[in-house]
Amino acid sequence: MLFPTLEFLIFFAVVFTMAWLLHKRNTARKWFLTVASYFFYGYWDLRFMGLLLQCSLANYAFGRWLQSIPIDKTRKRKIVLAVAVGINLLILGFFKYFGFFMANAIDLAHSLGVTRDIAILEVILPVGISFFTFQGISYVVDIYREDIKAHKKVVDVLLYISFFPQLVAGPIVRAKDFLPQLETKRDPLAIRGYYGLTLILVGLFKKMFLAHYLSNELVTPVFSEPELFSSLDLLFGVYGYAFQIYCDFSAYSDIAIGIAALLGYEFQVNFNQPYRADSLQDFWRRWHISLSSWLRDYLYIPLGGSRLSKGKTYRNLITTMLLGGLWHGAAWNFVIWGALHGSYLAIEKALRDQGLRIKNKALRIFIVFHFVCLCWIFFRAERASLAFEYLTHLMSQWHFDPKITPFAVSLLLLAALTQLVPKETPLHLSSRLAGLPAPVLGVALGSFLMILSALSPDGVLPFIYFQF
Amino acid sequence: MNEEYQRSKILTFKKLATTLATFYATSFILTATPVKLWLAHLPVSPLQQEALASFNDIHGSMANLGLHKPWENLRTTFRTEALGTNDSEIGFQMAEKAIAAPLPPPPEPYQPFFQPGSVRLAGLDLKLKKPEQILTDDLMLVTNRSFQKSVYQHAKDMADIRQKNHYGKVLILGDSLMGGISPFLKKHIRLQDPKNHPKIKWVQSSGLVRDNFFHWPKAIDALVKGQAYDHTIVLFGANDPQKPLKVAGKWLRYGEKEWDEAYVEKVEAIVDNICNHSKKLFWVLMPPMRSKSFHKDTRHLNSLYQKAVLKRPICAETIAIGEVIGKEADTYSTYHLLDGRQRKMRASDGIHFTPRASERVAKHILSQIEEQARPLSFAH
Repeated sequence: MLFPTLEFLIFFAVVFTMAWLLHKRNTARKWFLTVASYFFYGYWDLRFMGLLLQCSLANYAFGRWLQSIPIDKTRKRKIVLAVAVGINLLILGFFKYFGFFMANAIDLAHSLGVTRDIAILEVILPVGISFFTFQGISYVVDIYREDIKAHKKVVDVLLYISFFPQLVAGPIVRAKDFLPQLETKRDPLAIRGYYGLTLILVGLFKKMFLAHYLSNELVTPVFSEPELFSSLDLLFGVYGYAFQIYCDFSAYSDIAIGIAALLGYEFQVNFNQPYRADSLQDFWRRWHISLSSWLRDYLYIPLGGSRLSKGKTYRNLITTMLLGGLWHGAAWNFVIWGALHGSYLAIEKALRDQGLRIKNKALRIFIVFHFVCLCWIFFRAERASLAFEYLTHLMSQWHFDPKITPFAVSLLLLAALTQLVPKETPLHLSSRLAGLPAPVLGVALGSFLMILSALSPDGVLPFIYFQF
Repeated sequence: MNEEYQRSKILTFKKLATTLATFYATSFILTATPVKLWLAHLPVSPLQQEALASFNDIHGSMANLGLHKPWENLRTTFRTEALGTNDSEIGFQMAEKAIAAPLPPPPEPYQPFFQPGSVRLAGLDLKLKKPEQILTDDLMLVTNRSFQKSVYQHAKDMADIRQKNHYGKVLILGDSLMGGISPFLKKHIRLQDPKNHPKIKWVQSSGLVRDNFFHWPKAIDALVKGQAYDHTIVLFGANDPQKPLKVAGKWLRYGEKEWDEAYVEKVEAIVDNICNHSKKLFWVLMPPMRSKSFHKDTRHLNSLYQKAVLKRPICAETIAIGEVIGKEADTYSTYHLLDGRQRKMRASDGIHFTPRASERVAKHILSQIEEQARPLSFAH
C-alpha cells in the first residue's frame, strides 16, 4: 500500500478514527495500531507478516533476557547481545544478500575452473526489512546500554517495530525515542495536526510532482541511454537524480512524520536541506539523519570511533560507510558508493585535523554537492559498469547539442528551492493553516490533492527507498 | 527531539476530524463530478506546455535574429529528440509556428510493395516467420498470383536491404521494457553498421490505453510521417492490462469483449500506419511475468497483438521472446542457465529485464531480421 493512493486514504480514515476513539484505553489503542500496521504490511505480501512477527518477538525475548541478567555479568550480557544482533543480521543477510553472495561465489568458482551448475534459490526481498531489522537491533542494544528498559508488554515492541508510517522506508525510529511515547496516553486535545498535515502536503508535492516528473522527463531517459545525450544533458541528468532521490525519500519521511503526528506520535526529522552542506560530514548530518546517526551510534562508535589513532579513525569511517553502502543494496555499485563516501570523509577529516579548509563557504558547498552527485551516479546505475559508462559519456560528449528542456530545468530549479527556503518553512506554513476554520481547511486540502493528482504524471511511482 | 514538532500549534481531535472529514468529502466530490473528470483528462504535462508556450515571444525574436538554433535544441524534449517530433504538444505547435527558417524537404515516402485490403487472410493460418517460408509453405495455397508476386518481391527487397546496408533505417518504439532493450538493439546494429542511427522512442509507464498520459498513435504518426523505414521494432502492453479504454466517449472495462475489440482495432491502426511507412514491422510480444494474474493478462494481450498483425501479414509479424530469457517460452523464471551458469534475467519487480536479458532479447530480435534477409533459394 503506497501513501499517495486511494487504498491508503481509506485505510488511514479507519485507523485515525479508531485510534483516537480508543485514546482512553492505551493498551487497546496499541493493539489496534499493531494489527493495522500488520495489515498495512500484509497488503504487499502476506507471507512476510510472519517474518516481521518472528523478528519482533525474538527482539522482545532477547530484550527481556538481557534485562534479567545482572549488570556485572558483562560477558553473559555481551553474548546474549551478540546472538540477538546476529539473528537480526542473519535475517537481513539471508533475504538481502544471499543472491548477491551466491552469484559472486558462482562467478568466483567459474573463474577457478569449477563450471558445475549450482542451483540458485531466488529469495524475494521483503519490503522494509532493512528498516525493521535495524530497529530491532536498536532495541536490544539500547537495553544492553541501559538507555531503556526492556518492555514487559509485548505489544509495545510489536508496535515499535511495525508501526506503519515508518515500517517500509523509515525513518529508522530509535527505541529510546518511541517506546516512552507508547507508555502514556495520547492527548486528543493537543494533536500537532497542522504540522502533520503540512508535512503530508509538502511530501505529496515533492513525491507526486517533483520526483515523478524529474524521473520521467530527465533522469530515466538520460540514465537509460547516456550515449544519446551531450555531456551537458548528462550533467543535468545527475543533478536531476540528486533532486529526484531527495524529493522522493524526504517526501516519504515527511509523510511518515506527518501521519505519526496525526496519530499523536513524534518522529525525528530525517532530512535537513542536505545539499546546503559545506562538508561531507555535514551532509551526513542532514541526509537520512536516522540512518547516519544509527550507523554512528551502533557501528562507528563501537568500532572505536575517533577515540583511537588517526589511522584507525579513518579505517572506521571507511568501514562504516562501506557497510552503509551495502545496507542500501546487495550490489557492487553500492559498495563503490559507500567506499567513495568513506574515503572522502577520511580525507576530509585528515585535512581538518591539519587545519586545512577552504575559506569560501559557497565553494565548499559547491564541491560537496558535486561530490555527492558523482556518487549518486553509482547509486543510480543498475550495475557498476553502467556507472563507469555514464561517467565516460559525461566526460567525452562535450559538444553543444543540449536536449534539456525548459520544463526539466524548471523542475530542477523548483527542486533546488527546497534547499534554499528557510529551514522552518513547513512550521510557518502550518501556522498559517492554523488560522483557517476546519471546513475551509478540509476543502483546501481536498482541492490541493485533486489538483496535484491531475497535474502529476499518471500512476504511482514506487518510493526509491522501498527497494532497500 | 523534533524541535519543529514541539513548536508547532496544536489542535483538538474534534477540529482535526472535521478537517479530515471535509477533506475526504471534497476529494470524493471532486472525484465523482465532472470537475475531476476535467482535471483527470488534462494533458499529461500542462505545466510543460505552459512553460514552453511562454517562451514563444522570446523564440520569435530569436528567430527573427537568426538565433533559433539554440532554441530548437532547448525546446526539444527527451521524449522527442533523437526520436522525432511530437506534434501532440500544444507548446511545440506554437513554437513551430514561430520558426521562420524554412524546413528541409521531406524524404521520398516509402511506397509499400503490398497493399492489403483486397486480400484478407482470414481463416488461413499463416506462419509468419519468413517471407520465403510463407511462399513455400502456405501461400502456394493461395491462388492469387499477384499476391504471391507481392510476397516474393517483399522478401527479395528485405534481402536486398540487408545485403546492401545491413539493417537499413530502423525505428524502435515502446514502453520501459523497450527502454531496457533499445540500447542493446542500437549497440548491435551499430556494431555491424557504425553509420546506422536507429530512431528510438520509448516512454516509461506508457501504453496503448491511456492516451491522456501518452498518445502513442499521434506520436507514431509524427514519427513515420514522410519517413521511409526499413525495419520497425515495437514492444507495448505492460502498462495496459486492467485499465479502462475510452472509445467514442464511452469507457470500456478490461475483460469485456468490447475492450478487446477496441484494443485490437487500435493496434491494427498502428500496424497499418507503421506498415505504410516501414517495409517490415516486428511486434515483440511480452515475456512471461512473475505475477500469475499479470502473466495471464499479458498473455491475453499477446494474443490480441498476434491477431492484429494479421492486418498486414506480409509487413508485420510478432516475435516471442520467452524462451530467450527462460527455460520455457511461457513460464516465468528469474534465472536462466547460460554457459553452465545461472544468470539473472529479470529485475526484482518480476517484469523488467536485467541488462543481460535485454541484450539477449535484442540479439534475438536482430536475428529475426537476419533471417528475413537470407538469400532466397526457392524457385520463382
